[in-house]
Amino acid sequence: MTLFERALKRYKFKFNSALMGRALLACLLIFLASIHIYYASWLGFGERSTVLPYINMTLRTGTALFSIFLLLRAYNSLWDDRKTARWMDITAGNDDDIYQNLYELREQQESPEVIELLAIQADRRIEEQQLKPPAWFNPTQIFLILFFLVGTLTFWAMSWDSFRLAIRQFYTNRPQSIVYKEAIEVSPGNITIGRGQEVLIEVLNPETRLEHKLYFRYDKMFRELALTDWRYLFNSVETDIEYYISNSVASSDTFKITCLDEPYARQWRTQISPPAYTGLSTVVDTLSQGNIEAFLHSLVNLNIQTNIPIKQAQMRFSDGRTLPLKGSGNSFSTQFRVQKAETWYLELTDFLGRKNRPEEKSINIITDSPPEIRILFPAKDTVLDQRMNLPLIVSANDDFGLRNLQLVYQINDAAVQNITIKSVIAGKILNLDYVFDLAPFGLFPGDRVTYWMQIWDNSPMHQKAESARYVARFPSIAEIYQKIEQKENLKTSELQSALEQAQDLQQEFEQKRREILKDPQTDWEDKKQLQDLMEKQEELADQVDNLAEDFQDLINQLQNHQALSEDVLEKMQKIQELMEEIANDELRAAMDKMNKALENMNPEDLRKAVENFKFSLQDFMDRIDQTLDLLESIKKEQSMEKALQMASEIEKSQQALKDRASDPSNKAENLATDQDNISSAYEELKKALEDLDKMLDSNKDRDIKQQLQQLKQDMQQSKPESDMKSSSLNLRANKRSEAQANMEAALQKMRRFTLKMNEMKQSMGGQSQQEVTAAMQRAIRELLIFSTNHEKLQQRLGKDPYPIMQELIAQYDGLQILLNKFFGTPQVTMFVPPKFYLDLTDTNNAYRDLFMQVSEMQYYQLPQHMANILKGLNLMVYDLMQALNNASSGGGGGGGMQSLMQMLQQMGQEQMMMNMLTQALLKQLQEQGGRMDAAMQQQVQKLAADQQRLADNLKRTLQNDPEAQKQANTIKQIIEEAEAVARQLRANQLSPDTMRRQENIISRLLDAQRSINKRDTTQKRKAEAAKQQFPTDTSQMDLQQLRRAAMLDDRYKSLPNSWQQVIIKYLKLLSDQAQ
Amino acid sequence: MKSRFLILLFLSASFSGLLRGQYDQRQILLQQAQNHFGMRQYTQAENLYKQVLELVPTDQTAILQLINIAYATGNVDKAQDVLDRHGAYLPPITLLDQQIQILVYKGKAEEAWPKVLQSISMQPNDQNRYRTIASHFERRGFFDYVQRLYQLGRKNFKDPNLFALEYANSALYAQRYELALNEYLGWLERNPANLYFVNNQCKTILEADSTLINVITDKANSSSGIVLKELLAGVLVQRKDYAAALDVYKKLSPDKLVNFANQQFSSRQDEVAFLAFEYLETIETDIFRKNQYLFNRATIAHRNLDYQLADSLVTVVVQDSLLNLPQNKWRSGVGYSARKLKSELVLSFTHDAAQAIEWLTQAIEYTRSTVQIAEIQVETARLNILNQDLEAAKSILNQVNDNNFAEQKEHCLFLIALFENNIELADSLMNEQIIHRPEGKYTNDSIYLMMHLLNLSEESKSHFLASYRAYLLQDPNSIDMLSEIFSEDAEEELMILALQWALEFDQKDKALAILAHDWQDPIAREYSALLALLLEKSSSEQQRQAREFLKEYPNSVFSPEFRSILSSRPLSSH
Repeated sequence: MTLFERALKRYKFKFNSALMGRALLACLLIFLASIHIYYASWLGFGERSTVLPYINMTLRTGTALFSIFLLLRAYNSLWDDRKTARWMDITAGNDDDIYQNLYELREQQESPEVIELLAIQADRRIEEQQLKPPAWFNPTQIFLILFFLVGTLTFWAMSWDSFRLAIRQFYTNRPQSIVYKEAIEVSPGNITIGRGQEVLIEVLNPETRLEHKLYFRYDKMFRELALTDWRYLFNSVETDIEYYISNSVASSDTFKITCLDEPYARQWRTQISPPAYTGLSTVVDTLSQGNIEAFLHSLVNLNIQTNIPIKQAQMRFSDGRTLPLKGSGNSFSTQFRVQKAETWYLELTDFLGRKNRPEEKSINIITDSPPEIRILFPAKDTVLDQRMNLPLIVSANDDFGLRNLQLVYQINDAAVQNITIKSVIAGKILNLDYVFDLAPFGLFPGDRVTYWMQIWDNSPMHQKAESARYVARFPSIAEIYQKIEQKENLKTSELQSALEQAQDLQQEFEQKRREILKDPQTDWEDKKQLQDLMEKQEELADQVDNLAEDFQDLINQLQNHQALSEDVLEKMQKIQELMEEIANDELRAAMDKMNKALENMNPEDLRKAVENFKFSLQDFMDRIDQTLDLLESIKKEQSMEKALQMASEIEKSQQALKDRASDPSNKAENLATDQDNISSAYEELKKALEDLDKMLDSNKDRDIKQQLQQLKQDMQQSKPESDMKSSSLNLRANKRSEAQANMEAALQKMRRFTLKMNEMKQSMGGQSQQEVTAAMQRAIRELLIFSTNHEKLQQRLGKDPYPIMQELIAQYDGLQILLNKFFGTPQVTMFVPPKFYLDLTDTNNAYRDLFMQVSEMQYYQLPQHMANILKGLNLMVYDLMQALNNASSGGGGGGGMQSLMQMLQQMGQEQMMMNMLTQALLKQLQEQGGRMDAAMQQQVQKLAADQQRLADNLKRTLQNDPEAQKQANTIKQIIEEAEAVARQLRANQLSPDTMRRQENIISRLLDAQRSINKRDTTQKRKAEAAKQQFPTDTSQMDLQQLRRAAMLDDRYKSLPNSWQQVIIKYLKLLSDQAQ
Repeated sequence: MKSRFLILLFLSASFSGLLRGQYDQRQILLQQAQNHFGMRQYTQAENLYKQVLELVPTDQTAILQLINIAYATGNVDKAQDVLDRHGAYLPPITLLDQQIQILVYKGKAEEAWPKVLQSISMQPNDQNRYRTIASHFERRGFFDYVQRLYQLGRKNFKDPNLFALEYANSALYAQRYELALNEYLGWLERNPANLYFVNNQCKTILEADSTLINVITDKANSSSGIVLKELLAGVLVQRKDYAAALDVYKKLSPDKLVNFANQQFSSRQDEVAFLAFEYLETIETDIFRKNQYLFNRATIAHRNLDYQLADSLVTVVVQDSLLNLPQNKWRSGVGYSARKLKSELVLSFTHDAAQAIEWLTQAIEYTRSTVQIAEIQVETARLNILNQDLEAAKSILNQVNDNNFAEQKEHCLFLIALFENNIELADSLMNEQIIHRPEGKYTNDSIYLMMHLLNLSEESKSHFLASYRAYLLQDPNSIDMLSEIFSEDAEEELMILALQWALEFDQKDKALAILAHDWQDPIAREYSALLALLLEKSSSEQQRQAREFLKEYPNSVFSPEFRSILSSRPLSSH
């Protein structure tokens, strides 16, 4: 091979290499450009963009096609030998185109010589000429290519990660499947912090490619927070927080930031066990928050519940001591004994090391107060009565307990003494009734006893208390009488004044009454005047009631002083009862009627009410008058009693003095003084007898007067005063035996006088009793005559009443005379039972109604009035007969309130049973269409008999039982209702009205019981000042009890079932109504 | 302008406040004055009322009260003075009233009259005005003016019958009897229901002037109504002119006469009732009614102790063959009643209870109801008690269940207890009687018996019971038996009882013998004096005795009875 050929091949290769090189480089550049375009799109659209695959395909296809094109073009442009030879010629400047010629000759297979030659020439030239093929690229192109390449690569390098992903995606034409971290690590995870502390939440090793968010909640909803640099700072956490961090790929666990409060004791429980001597039980206190109030030496168990778990709890005392509390978590406790008052605070340390804020607590000592004691009664200086009993009501108390109650006393100036009343006292309060019996001390009139009470408490300190000091004085009987007489006179004058006022009132009323009778049309003025009168009367009635109460006090005093004998006291008690009855129910009822009539202003009603009131007013005055007479009538007996009591006292004193004189330890001077006192008392006795003498009537009290004269004569002749005087002198001269002889002489005389006075008193009492008895007997006989005569008149009453009117009027007048005479007898009213007054009122009312109806020419009710008069007269007789029997048997009839109550209760049950039966019968009657068969009639008749029997029993009770008579109005109403029911039933009339009446009976029976109960309670209260009893209003209960009792009744059980059903319904209805 | 208005307002307010204060003060003063007035402290009251008048001169209450005080203190001049000073403030009619009252009070009725006329003319339609003014005159006894006033009223109201009762009463007070009578009669004619009242008024009038009966007769005859005739008959009965009274009724229809007779019978005007029934018998054709009248007469005779007459009359009834026919036995009750009466009469005659029981046994055949059977049973039991067959009595009483005879039954049981000498039981039964039937007809008898028994010695008790049994058997010897006990026990009460029995049996001699007793017991003495009057038929003698009694015992409980006798009422023995 020639050079040429080689050069040709070489150059051709070079040229073709350049061509192909350029084409390849262009393809490469295009490829790079495509990648870059893709990358730019990747960046622009995002790796997940759906455009990218299309772009990718486009770029790939474009790149491929373009590259093929370029390569094909380059291939098509490849130089062949001829063109290379040509280029060599041109480049070598061979105008001969040696090379080309050579090539072509060769190709044409020209002469090898020539070809040779030429070849030689060409070779030579080739040797001589160094041909330089053109560069692949010119510099600009190179620059541009390089610029492009450098720029692109730099860009790629700069976002290599992205590019890497993009190129991979380009390659695969699929988005990269990204693998993130599947766990998020969070700091601090679960944590407990103190309230208000900051918390930094941070993602550890975060997936940076992803955005992380913090989610937290303190309630139900999670809230979202963005993280900066994968962390978030809570500046002040106030509550518990739950949180987690999440990115698009993963979520962390949920963690909790537990936010702890400041530690404190949420619950306090202090159990204080007081020391045993207090007797107090353990106290648990949950309210005082650790402030402890306890008795000294109390054992305290302190238990706390903290708000948060606590590591350590302890008590820190003001003196620096500490006392740890045992426990864990939230509960701690300790025990200590209270020794002194101090302050402390609780120190709590939590697991964060935080401490609570110190809060000062105190331990206070409850002081053991000294006991207190008071004498509640009499609580003032008192006067002893003859019983020498000083009733005391003592009240003492201590906070823990009491012991050793002592009564300390000092008689005059003697040494102080004491009596232990109670050494062991249970409880902290003592209320004690104690009767200080002074009888053994032999007090003399004028002696003073100073007394007080003392008591100790049960504490180890033995604290003591003393009551106020009071003085009890023992007065002489004369002194007692003086005071009582003063009071009695005052009461009498007040009563007198009430009578005078009543008289004035009556006159005024009478004037008004006449005006009304004259002109029944009342105007406002009349009404006002009548109302004023009513008010005055009301005041008077109240005044008299008060007097009655005061009088009862007086009697109590007399009783206590034993100043009067039982029979005189009994009389006074009866007077008091009469006083209570002065302003009686009748008067009140009349006043009520009057007030109602005034309200209604119905002339007819008013006229009747005025008439009615007139009589009640008269009755009121009569009663005051009678009471005054009675008070006057017993004065003599009181004076007699006074003298007798004085004489007995002198006798006793003289006896006591004589006994004391035999004891040499008693000072003679003192004894002489006492003897002088007795002499003075004797002088007073003489004066009292003089007063008595003046009071005695020469005619009426002839016998007594005579006895008194004899006594006075005896006193004058025997001269005990000189014995007393000698005794005194001898005592002063210390001649005791002589003095004792004198005393004995005086004593004997006094005994004689006392005996005589006692006889006088007996005959005086007997005399008045005889008078009363005689008056009653007389009244009974006269009333019986009136009754008989009235009966005859009653038989003569025809349609025309006038033929008997004159006799009737005469009879009425006669009755009034009878009553005036009867009540004119001193003390008779004390023995007249209350029922008598009721019957008297009824009788007078019947007369009055009769006369009024005759004057009004209304005759149809006259027979009834006539019967009522007869009834009243007979009942008055019977009342007096009973009073006589009672007087002779020495006591009132009846069984007292208790038995009356029992009886009424029993009756209530019976009535309830009857009501039930009636209800059942009524139901049956309705079912039978109002027809009553024989069996039913029999049942109704039996019911009628039962009802009548109840009425009769009540009548009997009303007649015989003074207590029942005090409830007369109610009981009378019950009787009337019961009789009306019995009448209806006897006539086989069974209607709702019967039921209504029967229910009224029950209701009234209960009313009566309540009233009695009230009265009973009031009396008991009066009688037992210290023992108060409180009445209970048991109306509902009463009714229920009655029902129960009735249901248990055998008669109920024997009824048919259907009846029992009806009865139960009825009872239910009653119960509903009651509610 | 504005300031003027304000001043005016202020002044009005002050003035009204002032008035208010004044009013309150007035009330207080009035109240105080009223209190003093009520307490009859007239001087103080007067001063206070005067103070009220100083405050409010027109206060009518104060003016009227001052006048009242003047009346109350009897000082009419003062009333006049008040009226002169303050009367101008009173309403004219009130002023007139007061003036009339003052004048009348001063006795100047004549002067008052013009004012009366004036007052009436002011309220001509007020009838009560007449009555009010009349009352002023009436109080001072100017009855003529009262009548004049009422006449004026009649004239003004053009009603001649107006104020008839008031007018009549006034005339009666004024003792113008004829006028009063005429007015009463006129009033009665218009108000026939007031027959008894007018009858009584007529009695008073006729007692004063008996001749005025002619007025009644004339009026009754001329009147077409029946009431005046009834009045006339009533008046005649009062005057014991029974025949004339009967004649009045004879002229009326028979049913009126029957009513009259029954009425007189029930009011125990026995004489006239007897005559009336006698007459009715003659005109009656019905056998049952006729026998009833006959029986009524027998009853009258029996209760007037004319047993023979009673027996003869009742025997006619009993023996009436028509009545005894089986079909007639129960057509009327008279057969039954007659035999019952016969039983009583037999007892009166024979004092033999057994015979009386026989008649009762007969009576059973004529009973028409269970009530009558019960009645017979009770009566038979009673007679058995008297017949000393106490067991039989008890047995019969056990059969009596009729409530109508419960009282009689109880009384019989009481008697049984008495005659069994079971005083305790008797006492208890007496208590029961009083409690159950205080108005019962046996109640006071039981009390009496028990009182007597309890006061007697044991021995006398049986004697007393024997005498009481004799008394119940209507044996006059019972009086002597009682007197014998008195001679032993010296209980004057027994003598009074004996006296009552003697009067009941019409044993005048025995009664007089008892009355001759020298009574020691005051009640017995006084009551016997009253009973003594029953023996005396002569009214003048009764009055004399009454005067004697009243002279000696003016305050006796029986004195009103004696006083009523003095006012010419003869004492009735019934």
